[in-house]
Amino acid sequence: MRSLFLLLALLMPTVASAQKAVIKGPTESKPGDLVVLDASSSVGTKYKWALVNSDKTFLPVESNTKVVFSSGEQGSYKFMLAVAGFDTKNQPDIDVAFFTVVVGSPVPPSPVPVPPSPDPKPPVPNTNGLLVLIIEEVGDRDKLPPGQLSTLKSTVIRSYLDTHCAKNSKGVPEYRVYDKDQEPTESNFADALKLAKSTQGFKTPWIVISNGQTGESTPLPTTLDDSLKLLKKYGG
Amino acid sequence: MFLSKVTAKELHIDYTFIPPGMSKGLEIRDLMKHPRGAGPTKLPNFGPIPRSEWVPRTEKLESNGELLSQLLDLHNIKVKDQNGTNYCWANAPTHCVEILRGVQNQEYISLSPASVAAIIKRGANQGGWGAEALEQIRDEGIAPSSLWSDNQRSGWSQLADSTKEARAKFKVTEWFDLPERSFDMLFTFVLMGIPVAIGLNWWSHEVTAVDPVILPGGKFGIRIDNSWGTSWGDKGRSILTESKATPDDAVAPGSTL
Repeated sequence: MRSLFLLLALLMPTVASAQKAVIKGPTESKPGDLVVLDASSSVGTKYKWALVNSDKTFLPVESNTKVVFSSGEQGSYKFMLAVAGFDTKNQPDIDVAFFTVVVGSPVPPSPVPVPPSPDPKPPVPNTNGLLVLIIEEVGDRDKLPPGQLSTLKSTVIRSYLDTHCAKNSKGVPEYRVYDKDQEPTESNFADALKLAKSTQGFKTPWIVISNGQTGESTPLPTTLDDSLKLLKKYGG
Repeated sequence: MFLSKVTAKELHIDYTFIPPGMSKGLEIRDLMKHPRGAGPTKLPNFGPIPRSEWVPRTEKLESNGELLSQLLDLHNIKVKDQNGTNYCWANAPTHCVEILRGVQNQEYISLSPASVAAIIKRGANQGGWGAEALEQIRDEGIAPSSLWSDNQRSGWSQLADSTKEARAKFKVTEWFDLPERSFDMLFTFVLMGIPVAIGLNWWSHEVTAVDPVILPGGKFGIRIDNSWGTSWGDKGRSILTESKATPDDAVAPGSTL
């Protein structure tokens, strides 16, 4: 990618383009299908392809006039083609085209893992105060950093949650520590678990936190102090 | 050198003495019927934590208030009392479920070991092993003590019918089977905050392992919740040394409904 942009930078201040980058191909495909993008109707002598929003690989063929691509992951894959050559005045010239292929669902998540960020809206509906769900894989506890393991069990955290979380109709503070395969019977925690699993980059251990106004669905912090800070951010 | 806080009442137990009215009931697991890691259980996908890490990890748990016994005290979850039944093998797995629910901060609901054992034994006061109980817990669940008294065997058939729906709300969907006679894996599980129902052939008894313990002389032990009520040991708890705590059979819950 870096060399491509260098090439672009060097070639951009040119006269009117005589080169033409044209990409033809399917705009949609199923996961696992082969996609061929065809630039053979372009005008130029050098072809350079890039997949600008993913680390996935593709295969240029036929002197770079085509690429073959396949992905098993749903997503929107944006290709860039730069075609370089010389214009009528024998000056370096370049043209660029973009082409997007949607694999799978028409509204796919980005294939590039994006660190989750605070959601400005309450991620979990029907909370009348602080609600916290920590999701773990019990069989992976041996792999957790000590700070995360502490957060799962610490009476410091639990005492905070006992005093700051909303209470359900039976007086139980609204925090749970569930295995990811748990099937919560309480609808608010079932919603929270669903939300977590649908959050980009979900993996255990994870935390969903909501105070009814705002909240977050994010990886569990790696230290006890950071976990407490996160809770206090929403729970006061 | 760090030593765990233990009380004299926890340490000085005569294990040959069975309190009046109490019973045990562990039978040696039938591995043809319940092979390890098959059926209701799976083998852990991790190995033991090295012994070199046991002391600092235990010290940290204790000083941070992360021991299961500390959590149980915080949630006021009491030991079970099997009274005169031979249902220790159902009491320990049932208590594990109560503990796991406590760890998950689900509402504390006392659960009935008899609702597991009496169905398996058709009301007979017979011994068994942990995997028998957990198979029943996985398939049909456990009744709350409010619907089925902890030691009630009479009328088990009618109770089984009337509590069917209630029992289905208290199932464990995932159980671990620890390797046979592996104290290292047992210690690893309690270090990770997972309670373990341990069958001890020398005692003919099944109890619940809850905490790792560091004893004088560089020795290790396990704090257990027995099922002989709160008047036994220290509020129902005691410390077993490594040789006594090494389990002949050991199962641990992973996730509950």
